[in-house]
Parts: sequence; C-alpha cells; structure tokens
Amino acid sequence: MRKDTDFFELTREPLDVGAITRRVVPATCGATVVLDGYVRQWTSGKETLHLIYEAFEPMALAEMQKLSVGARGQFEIAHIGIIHRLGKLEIGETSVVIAVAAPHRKAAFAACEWLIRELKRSVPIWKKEFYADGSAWADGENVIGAE
Amino acid sequence: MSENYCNNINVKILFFGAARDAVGVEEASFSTASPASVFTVKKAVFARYETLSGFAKSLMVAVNREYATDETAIENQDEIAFLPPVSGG
Repeated sequence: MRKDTDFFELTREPLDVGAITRRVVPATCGATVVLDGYVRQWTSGKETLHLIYEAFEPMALAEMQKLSVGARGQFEIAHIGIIHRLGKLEIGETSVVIAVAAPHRKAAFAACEWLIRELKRSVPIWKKEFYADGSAWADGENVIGAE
Repeated sequence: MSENYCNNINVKILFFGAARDAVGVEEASFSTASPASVFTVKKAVFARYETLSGFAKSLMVAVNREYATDETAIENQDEIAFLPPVSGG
C-alpha cells in the first residue's frame, strides 16, 4: 500500500515546510493539505520556554507508515509525507509536518486531520516541556511526572 | 548450555520519556522463566524499579517494535519497550 513517493522521517534539523510540501505535488493531484505543527508558547496560562522531543525511532517510523496505510483505506488520497523533528525546539519552531496530496481537497483535509490525531495517539514520540520553574513530560492535554 | 538454563530466557527492556527518568536507565537486561508473557515481564520490571509504580496503568508495551498486550508471548532475546503515553505532534 505504501507508495514510493511517500516519506516518513525523523530529523534533528529545522523543518522547511515549503520544501517538504513540494515533495508531494504529483500531476494527478489538485490539492495538497499541509499541517505545520509548531511549539506553542502559552498553554492554559503557563509559559513554555522550550521543548525537547524524543522518539523510539525505528518504531515511530514503522507506526507512521502504518498510519499511511490506514489513511489510504479511508480517504481518496494520492501521497503522504510525515516528518517529525526531535531534540530541542524553541518557541514557534515546527515540530511536525504532515503533507497530503489528493485529486480533490476534501479528502486531503480529512486525511490530514485523521493523520495528526492518530500520530498523537500511537506514534512513540514524547515531548518534555521546560518552564521557568521546572519541566514535565506532556501527556496529551494532561501533564504527568511534573518536577 | 547446562540443563539448568534451558528454561530461562533473556530479554532486553527499553525505557522512554518519563519512564526512563523514573528508573534512571535507558535499558536493562532481564532473565525470566519460560514460557513468559508481557504480563510476567512487567511484574519483574515493576518489582525491580519501584519508581515505575506510578506508571502501572498508563504504560504501553511494545515487543520487537510492535504494540503488545499483557498476553503477548515473550521469546528469548525479545526487545520489550516500556512506553509512557505518547505526546508527539
């Protein structure tokens, strides 16, 4: 089910959203929907100074590929690219890019939303938030292990 | 290998994120009696690392990089990853 033009990557380098997006523009498609997920400064009134992401890298890449199979089973889409950044990220820096190309935009929007929701649920990547008064591993919307 | 060791298997345990911080190591080796399951390995790991107790309900386990359940069978040389709730994105 995986297409050669798909890509699933982890990197410690800054993400160039425009360049990533142009990797999924086949001639048969009319729309690419791109999610640019970046580091939020304020969460529920608490200020984040920076983040560190880590991953169980081989499993994370395998899970991303599984997501592409799941997306193709539900949506009329042509190509998928997912890149997640690891290491230390400053406020506003891009942490994840999901690009989905499709013949028509509706399927691309739906697939992109489904992919980010499932990535947050199943891909083994973790985010540690650093604040002025300490740090904590994030647990979705909740925070566990606060120091 | 002597008869005494025929029924023991050795596995590698990996810890990530908050679970790694709680135990203080990235990986550990365990020897356990065969047949073994994720459940029996978890019991042994939680017994060795009391600081993991807070994760008893939230930890996911992957065996050889695939999500597993308590019933999943464990073979010699398996790699068992302890995964706290993921928070990518």
